[in-house]
Amino acid sequence: MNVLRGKIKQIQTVNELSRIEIDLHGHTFVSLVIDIGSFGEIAIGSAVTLLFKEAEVLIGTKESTVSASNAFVSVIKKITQGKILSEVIFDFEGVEIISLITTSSLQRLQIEAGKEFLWFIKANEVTLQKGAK
Amino acid sequence: MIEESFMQTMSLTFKLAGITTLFLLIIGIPLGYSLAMTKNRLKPVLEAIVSMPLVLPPSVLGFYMLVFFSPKNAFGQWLDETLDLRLVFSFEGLVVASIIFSLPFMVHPIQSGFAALPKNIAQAAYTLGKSKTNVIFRVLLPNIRPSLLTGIVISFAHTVGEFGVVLMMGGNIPGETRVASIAIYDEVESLNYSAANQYALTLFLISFAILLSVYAINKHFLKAELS
Amino acid sequence: MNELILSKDLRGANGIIPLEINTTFNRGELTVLFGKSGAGKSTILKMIAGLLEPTDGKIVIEDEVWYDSSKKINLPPQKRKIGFVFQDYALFPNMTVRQNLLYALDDRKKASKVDEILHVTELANLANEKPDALSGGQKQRVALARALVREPKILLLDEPLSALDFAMRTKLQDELLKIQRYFNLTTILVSHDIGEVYKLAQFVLELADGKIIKKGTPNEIFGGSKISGKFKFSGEIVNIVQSDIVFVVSILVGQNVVKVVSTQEEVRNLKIGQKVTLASKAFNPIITPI
Repeated sequence: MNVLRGKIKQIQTVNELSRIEIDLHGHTFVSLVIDIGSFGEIAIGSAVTLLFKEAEVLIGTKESTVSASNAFVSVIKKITQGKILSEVIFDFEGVEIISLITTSSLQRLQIEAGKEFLWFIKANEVTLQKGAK
Repeated sequence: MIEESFMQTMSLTFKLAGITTLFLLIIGIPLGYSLAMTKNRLKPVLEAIVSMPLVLPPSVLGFYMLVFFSPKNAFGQWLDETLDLRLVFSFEGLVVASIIFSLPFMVHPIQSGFAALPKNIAQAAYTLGKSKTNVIFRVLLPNIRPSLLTGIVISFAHTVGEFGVVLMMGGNIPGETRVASIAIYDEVESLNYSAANQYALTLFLISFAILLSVYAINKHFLKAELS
Repeated sequence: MNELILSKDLRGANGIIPLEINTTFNRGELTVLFGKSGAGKSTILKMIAGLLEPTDGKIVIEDEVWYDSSKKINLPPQKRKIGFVFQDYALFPNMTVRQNLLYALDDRKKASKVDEILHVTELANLANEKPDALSGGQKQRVALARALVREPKILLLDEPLSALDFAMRTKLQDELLKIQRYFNLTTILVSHDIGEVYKLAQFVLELADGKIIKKGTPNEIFGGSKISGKFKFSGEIVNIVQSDIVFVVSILVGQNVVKVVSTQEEVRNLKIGQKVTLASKAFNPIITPI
C-alpha cells in the first residue's frame, strides 16, 4: 500500500459526493469520497493520510497526457521483475511510490531504473485516513 | 407370643429408621449444600469426617459412642443431669448413633446432586428478586429430587440393616432397643432358626423392595428430564 | 447517568490483579466491556448485580445508589432491578419455559406480560418445553426473556452468545439489538469478539488487567472509521501465500473467505490470526443482479 501524508486544502461537496484537494509539499492530490459525513469531522488544514494500492498506480512516458487527477513525473529508484508482475519504485519527494504493472508492459515501455517516468492514479482510487501517524 | 414380639421389634426397627432418616434429611440438606458449594480449605477434612462411617468397623464407632455418652464420662453426665437424657442403652441413643452412622448415605447423594446443578442458577434466581429460602425450596431442592430420594431411601434401608453400632450402643432391650438385626442374632444364639428366618426374610424382602423402587423411580425421573 | 467506581483485588492465574474502575456510562445505551479473559469483565457485572462485593467504591444506576462503601450502602441483588443473563444460561431445569418466566414475575397478576415477552422473543411455541429440550440458541433466548420480565433498570449480559455457532450468534445479535432498542434498555454486555462489539456497542470500555485502558465508540476504539473507504469489514487473516512477486492474503469476513493482493512490504506486518479492517473505495465494487 502506498502511503502519503498531507494537509486538506479544499473540499467541494455535491450531495453524497465530495472532491477533496490535499496539499503534499506543494503538490496537489485529489481524492473522491462518498458520504464524507460518516468520516467524522475534517477541517481545512487538518492532517490526513492518503492510501492507494500499488496495482492502481499506472505508468506512462514523461510526455503522456492523462485524465487522472494525480499525475507526477518521478525518477525510478528500483525495479523488481517477476514472471507476470513487476514492481516499480518511484522516488516522489523522498517517499517511495510503488507501482505494480505487468512485466510485459514494463518491457513494452522500456522502463528502467534511473529514468524519469509519469506515474498516475485516479482520484477515486485514493483512500483517506484521518490523522498522520 | 412370637407374633407380638415380632411386631414390636419390626415396628421399633421402622420407627428408628424413620426418625433417623427425618433427622438426616434436616442435617443432610444444609451439610450437602455447603460441601458442594464451599471453596474452604477445610472442606476435605469435613468430607473425611462425614465419610468415616463408610470405612470404620461399626463396632469401633459404637464403642466410642458408648464411652462418650456414658454417664460415667463428663458429656454423658452433663446430658444426664441437665437434659435428663441418657443415650446409652436407650432408643434416643440409638437414634443418635444411627444418624452419625448413616450420615454419608444421606450427605453424599445430596452433595453430588447440588454439585451437578448448573452453576449459576441460585445466583440467577437472586437477580430475579427471590429470597434465599424461596430459592432453596423453589429452585434448588426441586432440581435435586432424584438425589434426595436416593439419600432418603438408602439412609432408611441402611438404618434398618445396621447391627454393630446398634448392638454396642443399645444392647438388646425389647421394645426399647431390640431392632430386627439384633433379634436375628439373638434368635440364632438361642437356636430358634424359624424365628430368625422370619426376621431375615422380612428384612431381605423389604430391602429389595426399597432398592427396586429407588432405581425404578430414579429412572423415571431421568427419563422425564430428558423427554 | 450511571456511575461505577469499583476496587477489588482479583485472584488471577498469575497472582493478584488489583481491579480499579472509575467510569460513567449512559442511560439507554448498550455499553460493551471488552477485553481478554481474566481482565475483570465478568467480575464487574457481578458487582453491579450485587453478587460480589467490591472492597470499596460506588455504584449508581439511574440515579439510585446501589452500593456506596463510604455510606455503608449495599443493596442485596434482590433489591437491585437487574436482568442478568449468564453465559451458561442458568435456566431452572425443573420449570418449563413459561414457568421460568413466571418465576421471575413479582406480581402474579401480570401474567399477560409473560405472554407478551414470549411473543416478542418468538418463544410462544416453546412455552411448555423444559430447558433440556431446547437448543443453545433457544436457551439463550429464554434466559434473555426471563431477564426482561422484571422490567430491569439495567440488563447485564455475561458473554451471552459465546457458546453458540456463528449463524446463531449473528441472528441473536440482531434480536438482542432489536430488543435493547425497543425497550431502550441500559445494557452492559461482556464480550471479547470485535465483530460483536462493532455490531452491538454504542460505547466501549476496553479492559486489561483490571483497568479501563480505552473508552469510546467502537470506531474510536478500533480505529476503523479513520479510513474513508465505504466498503469496510473487519476480519481475521487465515492464510498468506506468495504468488509471483505479490502475496495473496486470505481473510475470513463473517463466514466468507476473501482474498486480497498485497505486497511483500505490507505482508511483513501481517500474520495469520491477526484481526484486520478491510476497506475499499465505493467506486470499485461491481454490482450485478443475481
